[in-house]
Amino acid sequence: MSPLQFWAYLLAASLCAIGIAGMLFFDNIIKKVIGFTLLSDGVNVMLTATGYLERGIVPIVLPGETTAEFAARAGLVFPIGIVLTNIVIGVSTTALMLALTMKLYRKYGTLSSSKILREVR
Amino acid sequence: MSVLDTIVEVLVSSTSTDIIAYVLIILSILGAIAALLQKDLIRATIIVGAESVALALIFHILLAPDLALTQAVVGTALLPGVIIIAIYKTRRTEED
Amino acid sequence: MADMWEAARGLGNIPLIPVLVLIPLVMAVVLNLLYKRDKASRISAIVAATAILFLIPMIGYGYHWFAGQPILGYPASPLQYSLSLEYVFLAPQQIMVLTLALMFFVTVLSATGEVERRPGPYLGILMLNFMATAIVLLVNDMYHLWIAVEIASLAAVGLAAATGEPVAHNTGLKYLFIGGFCVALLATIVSLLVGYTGVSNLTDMGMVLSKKLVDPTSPVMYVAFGLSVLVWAYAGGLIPVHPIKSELYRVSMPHAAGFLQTQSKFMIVGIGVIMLRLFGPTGVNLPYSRAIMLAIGVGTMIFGVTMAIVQDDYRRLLAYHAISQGGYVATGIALGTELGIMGGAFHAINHVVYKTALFLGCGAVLYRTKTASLKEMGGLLREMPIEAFLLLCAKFAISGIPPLNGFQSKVRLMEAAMEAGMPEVTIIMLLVSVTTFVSMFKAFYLIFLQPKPKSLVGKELPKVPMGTRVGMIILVFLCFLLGFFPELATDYLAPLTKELGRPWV
Repeated sequence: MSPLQFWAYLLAASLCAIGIAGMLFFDNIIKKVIGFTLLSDGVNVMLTATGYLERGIVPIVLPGETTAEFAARAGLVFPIGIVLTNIVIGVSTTALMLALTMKLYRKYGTLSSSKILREVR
Repeated sequence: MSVLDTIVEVLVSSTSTDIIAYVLIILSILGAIAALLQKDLIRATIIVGAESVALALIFHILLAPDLALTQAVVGTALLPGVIIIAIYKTRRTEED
Repeated sequence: MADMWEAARGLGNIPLIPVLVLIPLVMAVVLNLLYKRDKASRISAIVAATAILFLIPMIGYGYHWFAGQPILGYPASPLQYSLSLEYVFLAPQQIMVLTLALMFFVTVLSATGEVERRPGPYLGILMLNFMATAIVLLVNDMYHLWIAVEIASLAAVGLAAATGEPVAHNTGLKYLFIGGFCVALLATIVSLLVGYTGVSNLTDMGMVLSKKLVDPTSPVMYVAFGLSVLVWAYAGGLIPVHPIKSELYRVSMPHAAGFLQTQSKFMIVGIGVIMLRLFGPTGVNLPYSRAIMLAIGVGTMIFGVTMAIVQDDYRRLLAYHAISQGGYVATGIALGTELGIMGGAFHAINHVVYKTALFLGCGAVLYRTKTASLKEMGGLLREMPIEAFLLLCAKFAISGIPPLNGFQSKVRLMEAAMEAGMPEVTIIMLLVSVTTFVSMFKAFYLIFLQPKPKSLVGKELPKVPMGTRVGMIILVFLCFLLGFFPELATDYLAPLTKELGRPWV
């Protein structure tokens, strides 16, 4: 494993950990949403780092290149597909979370999660 | 001082783009911690936006330029935009 | 050895399979464009649901790959990789997607009756839910599985929050946080498995793992299995993530809760089968993998029914019973023997039929009395005799009384547990059945037979919508049909069980 891939995995793990800590330990709902964004970013970096090849080339076929030498030197393409979808899904989920937050703020008048996400009987 | 030795060895044997990646990785982690500790929510969102730019550059160095384009657009304009609309309609500072 | 999914490649590329997924997607967009016209959106939703129902028997068996790749064989290897994103449609998928489409049709009928203002966008979200669950049943690669679980978690919140009450928004937000976390876990699982085995197609992954082309004792496999157990528990409403699912069933409108629990059961079957293919005896054969899944299944049965018996809110009672019966399905799939997988999948099909009937009946009762608390209901037998009889049949079905369909699947599950050498599990299943019977008939007495409380005396109650009534009649008829002729479903499920069933060790 090349040093860059190792440090990219460490970045992914740190972002996931910071994101989960943000979702758990902070009271404000917007901080929880930011934590979810950081978790999603961490997972994206982890997926991209899986597709990295040391001294590789970008997986886009240039004109005049054959398939064999492309396959030997290019990074993996499949994680790129997953991450593109994940980025868009992250925005959609964040938008839905914030829409529900705005509705709840209109009823309760506060953004503190201990007041609005408590158990409802 | 084996930690310093390994750091020097890694820095010497890597290309210049790799060194940029290491600096950006450290900045991202510090930025993530800083974004969660802010009291002013708009400031937290702007830090998340800046960190998305750093992540876009890291994606480019990790051999994924299309991800770099998507992350740059979405993470800098769309995602902070959506969060800032929500902050505008609710409240700007975190309560005690 | 060619397994069932590889053999499907010999049957040809069927272009009609993605149409099952395209119709709901297009209809969701169309219904959102039609949001001002109530009558047009109702009619188009019913037409789309009927079209899907008639399409399913017409699709032949086979597979469908995207991106048009041919089947490759690496030059120096006797293995045939496919390297494609594909859907597989064989007999087991056909019966499960047919049941799902039938539940979808019944839910659309009920929703067109009960939702008065602006049913268009609401029916659109229902279409997205159907699409996500159908993809989980049809899928044969990890990318589509992850997309489907993601869409399912978002669309479930859309369905629940449509009631407009703050408690629904509250529960929806909590479900989104937990769902976002679990879907990030699923993306991590995809990254680990795809990075470790090098392929994304599930058949290829099973082949790589079972032929030991990669080291099977690596910690990557254990981490991936552990995370996938958590994702399976979240998607299906099993312990330890069951409270959020039961709250989601409780806050949504009853017919929406009926469709949400259908979604959960088919996700238990779909994701459970994929876990068996990767981590079970036909895959990498992790030690204690089936035992951990079995523990979760049995625990869910017990937890669900003990919470249900103390409830006096009718919607919560039905929600906890749905969780408990999900435990039956999970136990069947986790046993991993031939009879176990048959029992689990057949119980999923039976359960969605009678549970949707129960939820539709709850919707009818709620529509008339406008309250869900059992203490405030009573004496409704004289006003709704047809619904009372249909609910009585559904309650017999959930308790496993012959000749209804609950009995057929529970008998197969108990035989499977005895055959695997675990009579304790059989005794637990029996006790949970008896407790379900007690709890359900307590609810029946409190709704229909006890004397009418003062709040309901002399009030003119609104009539039950025709869609709900027709839906309940169809479902109870299916309960009797599957009870008398279980071969209608078990013959279709047989290839799956022969493929994956291995003796319990």
